[in-house]
Amino acid sequence: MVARTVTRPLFLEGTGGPGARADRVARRVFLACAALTGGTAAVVLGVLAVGAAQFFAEAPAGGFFAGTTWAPFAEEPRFGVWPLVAATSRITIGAILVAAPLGLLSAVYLQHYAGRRTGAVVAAAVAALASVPTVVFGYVALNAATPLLRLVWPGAEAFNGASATLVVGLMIAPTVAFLGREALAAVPPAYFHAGMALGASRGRVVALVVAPAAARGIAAAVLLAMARAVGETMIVTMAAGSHAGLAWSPLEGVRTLTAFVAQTSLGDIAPDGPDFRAVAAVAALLFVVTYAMHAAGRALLARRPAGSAHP
Amino acid sequence: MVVDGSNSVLPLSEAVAAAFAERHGGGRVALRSSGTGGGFRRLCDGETDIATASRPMSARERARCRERGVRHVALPVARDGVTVVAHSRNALVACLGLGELRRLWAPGSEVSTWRALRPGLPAQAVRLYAPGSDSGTFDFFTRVVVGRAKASRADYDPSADHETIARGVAGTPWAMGYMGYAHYAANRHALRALQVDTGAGCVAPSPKSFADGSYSPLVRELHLYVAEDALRRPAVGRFAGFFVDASPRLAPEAGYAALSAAQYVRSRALLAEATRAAERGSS
Repeated sequence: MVARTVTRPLFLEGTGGPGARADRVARRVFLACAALTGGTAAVVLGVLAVGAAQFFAEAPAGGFFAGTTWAPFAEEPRFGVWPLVAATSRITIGAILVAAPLGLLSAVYLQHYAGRRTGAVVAAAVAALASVPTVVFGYVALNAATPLLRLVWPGAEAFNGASATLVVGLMIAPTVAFLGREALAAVPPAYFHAGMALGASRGRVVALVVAPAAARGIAAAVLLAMARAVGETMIVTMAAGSHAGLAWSPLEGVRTLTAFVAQTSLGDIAPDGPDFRAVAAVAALLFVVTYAMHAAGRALLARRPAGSAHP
Repeated sequence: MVVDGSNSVLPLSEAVAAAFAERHGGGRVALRSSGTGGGFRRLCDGETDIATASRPMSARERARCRERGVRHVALPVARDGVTVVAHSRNALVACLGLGELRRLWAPGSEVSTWRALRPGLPAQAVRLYAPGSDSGTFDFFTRVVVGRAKASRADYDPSADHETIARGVAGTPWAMGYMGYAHYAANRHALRALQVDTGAGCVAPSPKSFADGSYSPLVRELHLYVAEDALRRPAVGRFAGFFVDASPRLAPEAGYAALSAAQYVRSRALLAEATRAAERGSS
């Protein structure tokens, strides 16, 4: 048997050797990457801010936030963003009404009811749903959900809010399920066992002991899922339509903030034109809303209940 | 080679590009459809080699092109009619007058039901689908029907893609819209084309009525705008020439009317002249 000579890798050399230099170089490379990432965010924000500022220099902010007519490219443009906001709100609220029960009950099942094998299968299925690209969901909304909807309500339009809402709900359900399960898992097992020891049924323990202890985490799960729904673009662009009116029926088409940005950008946008400024204003509003929801969700997650197993 | 522009011309460009690839090999032609306005903008910014157009270049666009030093040549390739379409089960309306279309599409129009458009029709809401503001078809239709380019009611569903308009009208009871005839032809099983009464009786849109002039106010010529600088690359000239030569055969197949033989000869001559100018410019 041949004796092996062990060569120490370069990065384990002493401080003065070439290893230290490699270390310094690597450090700079990492710094550059981090700076590039952060810098990109700053550039994006800057572009949006400049575009939005130009937009508000021409269109009064009052008309933007309170107006009920969105017709930015008409001869006499109207910039009331309310129809877009209403559409986004309706789809987000509808989607979370679908996703919250589905996701939270899946989380409870996975954490407290499922056997090891079935649990693994169900978790894999939920993960599979989470990995579906949104364009596939959009295709499903357009070519499966809408035809099914029209079997029940023949008056439903080709592009309508209801099927987009349903499919966005399915898309964000795994987010609620996974984050909700983490929230349940973070509750100290002692709570669960103490409840069971008192003779309560599993269902009562989960509902009255574990869930309240996990309330913050569950709220964060719902909030982060809603932030995804607000920012969701592909499904609503493909299936919800482009009608920027204040439609009351979910069977009618609606235009969300994201769909306006996407559909307008499908054409060619001159960077100095009025359409770019309108897109920038809507994109900036969208960013502020989703950022606030993310920040609130993260804040909730950061403050776990006392005695948490995973601080 | 990058071609961008009119969505109304796209079915023809696609047919030509496919035939070109078959003849000359390679998938070197990138087709986009940002709308006629977007296509002109990109051509004058030097981003593309050819712009397809469903309306002529405006004076403002011309000035912008000149400012940037982009010379170009416009080649007529086919004739197309803007087609007014309704839901396929709407059998109550066969023909609309230009006056009715004007009342329906005028800025601020309050015609929201079929009955408001024509007494006797049901009081169903008219849901409208049409091209967006970057579209040459939109500019043309508003100019002919409303009387001023870009003057349109705004509460309709805009789309840069005529296929989306077709899908919207086909899938929405009592909907209505307008688009290039080729896109209607590709979806004719799902849509109902309405006749238009221009004052001399109702005329159905068809390549025949585009060619003989009976559908006339809603018929336009489709053009290629080729950047002169791009003609220094032989492939661009070859493609533009092929486009002109193949159009008499491919245009009718794709749902357009071909131009007269003399017009194609003229397009060829314009292209040859621009190519010579480009070569002079580079030497």
